[in-house]
Amino acid sequence: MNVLDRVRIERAVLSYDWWLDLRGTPARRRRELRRELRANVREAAAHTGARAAVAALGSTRQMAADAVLADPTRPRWAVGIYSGLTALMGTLVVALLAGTAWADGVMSADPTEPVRGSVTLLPGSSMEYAPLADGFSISSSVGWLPVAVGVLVFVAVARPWRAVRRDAVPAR
Amino acid sequence: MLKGVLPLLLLRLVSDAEDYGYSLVLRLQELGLADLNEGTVYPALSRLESRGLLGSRLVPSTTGPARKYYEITPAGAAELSGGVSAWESLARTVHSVLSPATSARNQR
Repeated sequence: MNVLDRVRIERAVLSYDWWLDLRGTPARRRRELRRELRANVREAAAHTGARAAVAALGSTRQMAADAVLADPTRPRWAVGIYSGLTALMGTLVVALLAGTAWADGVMSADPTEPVRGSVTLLPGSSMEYAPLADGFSISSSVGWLPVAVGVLVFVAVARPWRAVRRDAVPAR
Repeated sequence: MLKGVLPLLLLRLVSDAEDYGYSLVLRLQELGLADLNEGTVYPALSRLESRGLLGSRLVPSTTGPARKYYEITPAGAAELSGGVSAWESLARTVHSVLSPATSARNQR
């Protein structure tokens, strides 16, 4: 099995895991279901090819819905971490683009003295441009916003307070 | 319609001999359910296991990851028995309704 086929299969397995996590499936059960799906699809791929084997699964969302009962009382850690990291990376890219635009603006003004500034939409950010005898130096800090966005998205998606509520409910 | 009877079919196949997901798909396809796909069978097995109707164990495979073999539990055997009786009763009723004699009687 080549690398592309392995990637196809892993993509399907991870997609299945994503939907299982959204349905509040515990980590151990998700691990079992991932392992089983991977073994079955790999065997199917040996007979029909990876593309056909993955296509035969149909919607992984529907598979997850059919495989487990939804438990809306559990946190969704994996989906939360993935979403939080994606939001963090997205905000960092925006900060990088904004910083580049700021630097381009400063350089086009060709200042003879050091310039300090920040990006309005990135509170806590700071940038500094300093002309040197043989060129220039630029330093920047993106501030706290990207981390704050990542944490907020993680909390909103993962819903960690559900774990606290579950612990608070007395066992019957 | 197939989704409704699929658990019964899986219980029946596993009651013959313990088996794993992809092999069960192939057996069902060979038995005539050619359009059946894997995405329908694997979740059905998971549900049956969650309900305690199937047990499972991992068996190492020489061709890849360990396979999860399912075996029927006593509760599964009881479910199968009840399901077969219910299906046979339903099939008799449906057949009698759909038979030409019934249709002719209803037209008069």
